[in-house]
Amino acid sequence: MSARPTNRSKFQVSYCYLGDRRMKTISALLLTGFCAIVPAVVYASGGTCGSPSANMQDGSDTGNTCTDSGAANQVDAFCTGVQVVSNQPQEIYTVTLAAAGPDRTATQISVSSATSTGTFNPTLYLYTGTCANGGGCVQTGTASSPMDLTGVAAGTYLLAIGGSQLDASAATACGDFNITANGTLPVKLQSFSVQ
Amino acid sequence: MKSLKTLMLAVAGLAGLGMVSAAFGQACSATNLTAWAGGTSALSGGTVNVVAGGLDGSACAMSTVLGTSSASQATVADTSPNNEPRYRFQFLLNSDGLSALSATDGVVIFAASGATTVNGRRGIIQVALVPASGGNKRLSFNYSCNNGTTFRCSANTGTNNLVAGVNRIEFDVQMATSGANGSIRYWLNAAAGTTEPAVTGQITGIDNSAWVGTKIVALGLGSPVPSYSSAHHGQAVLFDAFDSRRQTYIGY
Repeated sequence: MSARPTNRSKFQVSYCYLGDRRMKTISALLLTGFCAIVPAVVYASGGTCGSPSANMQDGSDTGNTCTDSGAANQVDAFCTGVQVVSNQPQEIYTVTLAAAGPDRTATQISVSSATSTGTFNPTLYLYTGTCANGGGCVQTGTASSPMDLTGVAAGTYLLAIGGSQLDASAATACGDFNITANGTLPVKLQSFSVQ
Repeated sequence: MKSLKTLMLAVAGLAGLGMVSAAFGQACSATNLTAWAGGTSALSGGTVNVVAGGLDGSACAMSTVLGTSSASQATVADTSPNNEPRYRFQFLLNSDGLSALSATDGVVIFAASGATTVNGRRGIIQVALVPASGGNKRLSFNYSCNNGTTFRCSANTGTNNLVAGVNRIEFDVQMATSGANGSIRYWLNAAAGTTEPAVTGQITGIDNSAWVGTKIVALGLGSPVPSYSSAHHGQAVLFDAFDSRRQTYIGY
């Protein structure tokens, strides 16, 4: 769930960015709580339809569709009748967005790739449909054209990254990627403890 | 010519089916689009006009333009097909009016659908204009198939890109009659003639019998990807000389 944390006299609230390698708490006491016992490194980059990654909730992530565990052709990434992410290895994230404003300052998500196998043009696909079937296309993004979030409503979305229509070798093109939001995505309340 | 001026009864080989044939008229009047039994859909900022300069050397062509909305549509429709288990279609396309397509830019230019929705899908084939490497354009198409999960399969024309100027596009869509023996064959810019040449590409082994056959088709622009709407609204794509048949190669 998404919520703005509040401090109350008897509660300590933890901002725990699951998936990020960082864990932020507002009280050292919480080191003995939930966050402290969940090693962030268990969250691998990217994800699958069976287990979408929450790594992007912190605003950025890196990975490699050639080598990351689970990377495969997982989603029919269609916007209306047009396929926007080809049938190449893909990785799947869940992203929860607040309404644009103090809770969400990010206006776009960019993607880049430095090395690849074959011609790889990393492409982002934000959607609301079922993970594997795709559909409910909300927005797309590429290295040259970041995903525009300005018109995207609050909600929880699936975000797929994979190759594009431009890729000559649609079945094998893959590569590393770096996804970055240009602002904050909503902080998720992950745990709290009673002091 | 700009619009469909007459509704020709196309010779349909052994089947002898008459469907829409786009003989574009001399007057370049939008009234000629009435030959399309399903009418014109100019929605959410989309426009369909008849303009001078036919793509086949005739007087007029159909010009389609989308607006900024992803719901924008600019198509004409034919409702005369009768659940056709085999449907051939051909049209001329000039997309030079579009600026360079970025990686996710795409727009549907033709769609054929069955009479009923099966497994959540009604479309038999949708053909889209998409980018290719090197600033080129090519076609992708998705089609209903019994893959047990999404019931949608997809393909593209690979290294067979569109050329600058006018492209002649022909498809032959066959529904499966037994198991997975349906097929989609296509020709891009085939040489002149009416004897069927070697295909440019094909997909065979399609299990699509559940969708029965083509009942309605639409030609023009529709279902744009949001990035297409943002970057290519107001840019015209021209169509001309649509023809459809049941059996025999169309050619020219």
